[in-house]
Amino acid sequence: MGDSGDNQRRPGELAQPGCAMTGYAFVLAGSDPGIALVIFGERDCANAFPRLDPRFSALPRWNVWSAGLRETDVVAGAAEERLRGCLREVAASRPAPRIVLVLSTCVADVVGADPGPVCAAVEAETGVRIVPAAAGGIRPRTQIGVADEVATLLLDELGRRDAAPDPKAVALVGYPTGRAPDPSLDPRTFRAEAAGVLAGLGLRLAACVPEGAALADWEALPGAGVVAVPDRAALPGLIERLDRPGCVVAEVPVPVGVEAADAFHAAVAAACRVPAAPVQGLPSRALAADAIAAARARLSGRRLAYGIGSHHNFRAGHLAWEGLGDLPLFRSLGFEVDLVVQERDTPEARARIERGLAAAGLDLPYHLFREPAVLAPVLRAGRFDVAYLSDFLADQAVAAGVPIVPLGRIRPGYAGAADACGEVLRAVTGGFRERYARWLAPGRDAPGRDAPGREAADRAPPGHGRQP
Amino acid sequence: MTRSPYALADTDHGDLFGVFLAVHALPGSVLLLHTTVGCKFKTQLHLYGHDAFRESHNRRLWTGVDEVRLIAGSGERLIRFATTWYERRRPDLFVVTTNAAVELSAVDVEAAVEDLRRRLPCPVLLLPAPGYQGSLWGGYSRMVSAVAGLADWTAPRDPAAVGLAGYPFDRYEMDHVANLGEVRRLLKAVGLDLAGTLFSGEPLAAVRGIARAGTLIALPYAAPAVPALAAASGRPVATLDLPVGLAGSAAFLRAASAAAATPTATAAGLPDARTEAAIDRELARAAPLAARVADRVAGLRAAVCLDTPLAAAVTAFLLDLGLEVPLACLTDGVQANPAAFHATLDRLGAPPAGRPAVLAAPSRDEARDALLAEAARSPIPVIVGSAVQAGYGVPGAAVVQLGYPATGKHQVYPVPWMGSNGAVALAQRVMDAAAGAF
Repeated sequence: MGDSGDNQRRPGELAQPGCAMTGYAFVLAGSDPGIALVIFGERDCANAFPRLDPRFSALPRWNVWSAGLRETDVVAGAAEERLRGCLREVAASRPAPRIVLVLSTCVADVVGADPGPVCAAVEAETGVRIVPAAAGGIRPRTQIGVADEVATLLLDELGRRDAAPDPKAVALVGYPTGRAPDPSLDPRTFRAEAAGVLAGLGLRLAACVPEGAALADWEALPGAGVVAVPDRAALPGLIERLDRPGCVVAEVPVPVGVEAADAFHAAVAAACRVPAAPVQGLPSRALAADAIAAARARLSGRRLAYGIGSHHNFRAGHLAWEGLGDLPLFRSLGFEVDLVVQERDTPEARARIERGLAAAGLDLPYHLFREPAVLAPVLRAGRFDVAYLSDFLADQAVAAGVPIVPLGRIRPGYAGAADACGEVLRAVTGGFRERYARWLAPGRDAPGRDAPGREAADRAPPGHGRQP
Repeated sequence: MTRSPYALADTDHGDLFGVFLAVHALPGSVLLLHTTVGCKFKTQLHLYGHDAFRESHNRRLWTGVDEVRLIAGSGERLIRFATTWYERRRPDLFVVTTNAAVELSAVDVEAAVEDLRRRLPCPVLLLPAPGYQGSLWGGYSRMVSAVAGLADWTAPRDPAAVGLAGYPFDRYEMDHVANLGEVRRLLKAVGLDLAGTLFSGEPLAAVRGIARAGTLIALPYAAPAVPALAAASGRPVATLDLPVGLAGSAAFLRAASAAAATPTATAAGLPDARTEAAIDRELARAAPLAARVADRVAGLRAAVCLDTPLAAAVTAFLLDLGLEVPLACLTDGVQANPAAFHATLDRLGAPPAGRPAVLAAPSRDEARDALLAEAARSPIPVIVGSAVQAGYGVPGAAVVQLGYPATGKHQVYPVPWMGSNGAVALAQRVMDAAAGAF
């Protein structure tokens, strides 16, 4: 990737704009029971995040609450009083939350309800830290901007202020460090792999934020002497706080594929001023290298459509470099890559795309589709062999007869690279769907949906497309 | 136990999702989300995992309301957006919905919709859905009322035809194909023809066929729509329990037959011979199969976590099979109704022994606590519920996912849960779950 310091680039401008309240909930719901979220809006606003996400769904106590504003609260100017009752209940819940974030919503903004004084009053009354966050959706924001805001707020609130940066402590900021859907699969995550490599160098993984961060990550973050970030311009608030004397901030691309993972570990070692990690001997690396070589032999020269501009999950790791972070893997497999970008065809949109690509040091052909329902003709015209797309676009891929690898299935690290090769090979070289293609009606149903029991540790939640 | 007004429930949907669900069930229709951006998530996100076989994303369009448009007025935006997108999509029906922020600030939406009705060749419905209003099935029911108003009720009535309102068509999977097949088959057995269903995954043109029905049957999900259905149609509307379980299916047939007053009906108050013969045939085939299950599961404990109508029908059937149901959690929010639950058990003749304690609209944590406590008292091997209960972590309990959301259960092969065939199939699922052998 290129230099994120390019001042023409506006991070997040090629992804979906979103509702900040939704973004907070996506990033934090299920992350840690000690972080409680209160949605200062109507009950229905609490539906704006995936509550069946396995980690959230299985919490003994759900850590999201709703002020449940009623029409009478709204029209009578009693929203703050309703919030007061809610906050008292949340503060009294057991185990008590370490922090309560109060997320304002569209309706609170429209009626001018101010949660600040109520938060302060209930905090004083109960001793539980309560922080309001301006998160109403009437001013759509970039997803990565919301992720940065969440991270900055939690660092300010939870980070150990007295922690001096430890040169042997590494933080991964803005990578796909989500936890596995099932805790038993956590050892297969990139987070676990990175921790293992660092330990081999006498270093320790202090924190991974914001994806998959628990309280302990936020607390430990200021103590990291080395911060690796794939796209520092995308997280300006957080990096500004971390980039201080005694702390090295190194921009290191997302390690998708073997070469990228090698480069990642070398760069982190260099930032820590220790000899490069002896990754060559890692069994997982050997497996990944074999898998890449085998896959490349079968895939080289094939055409891949790489989708951006559609997904909507507020995950910093997916949003780095405008969602182009997984590109190196496909290139290492020998694909000819074209971008398919969900945008209207306007000079302004083309200018945005081109400056985003230029900032990333990329020169790729791209094709536009104005909305999800019209992607199929673009895929057909491009004669693609496979498409890497948000999962909800699968029906378009099927209609075009193009197999899909759903966005989010590519995990970083060596184990991720090996799994990714299998994923891409299955999609491209065909399986049941291809053997029985003659009898399958195009567009009738969509492959690529999440399958129970998959070992996709960093599986993305369903995404959502831009509506004009 | 009463529900915390602030803790989240299994589902917390207002009318918005119910309206969207109904739009999804009516192919060719499109929901115009004249809302702020976050409402996009409150619709398709939840259907994504539940309906594995039909994409719902493209069934709604967000009109792009933001702060500037709220201040300047969003009506003109709605008109331009809808007219442009009509040309692109050519929908059979536009359904415009608004959220609280728009309701509170945009005074020009109704006028804009009136304008659209004049401009566009397709019907345009306006169903505001502020997030403090309604429920999943409440929103669905509003769409039932609104779409019923689009039928030509001056069409000749066929006394042997019935229309079905409030069928809970929540996904394009084969359980619904099988259920609707069961309903048609049962009605045919008593000489009735299903003229149309609100909703069944059929497009508006087919749904409008409901106008030839002489009688309308409303399932409980359409109960709030009954006055509107009666007023719009001029037909008698009978509210029936769900045809779930053996007794439930028989009761459905009797009530449908009586409501339609089929030609073979005898004098009021006396059993209709043709209906009773049909029920007899059904039971002669299904009861011996269900009995094999009953022999194996009698005395077993099961909990139920479903919306009120389905919870009642399923509980009645489980009791019929000889299970004990110590706990029923009614998960339909503001529509949760313990009195209706108990009344349904009585109507369906459920055995008095083993009836459950009922939690009306508990929070998710309250329901989980109650289930864990009950399971600690004595094991509960089976929960008939939704994907939410799969996350409860009740030791030793298998979840039979039924209704919404069932993100872990998708139906490729047509297996019903309604009708007498559905009763046998549901009994099979309960037996398998109890044995942990799926």
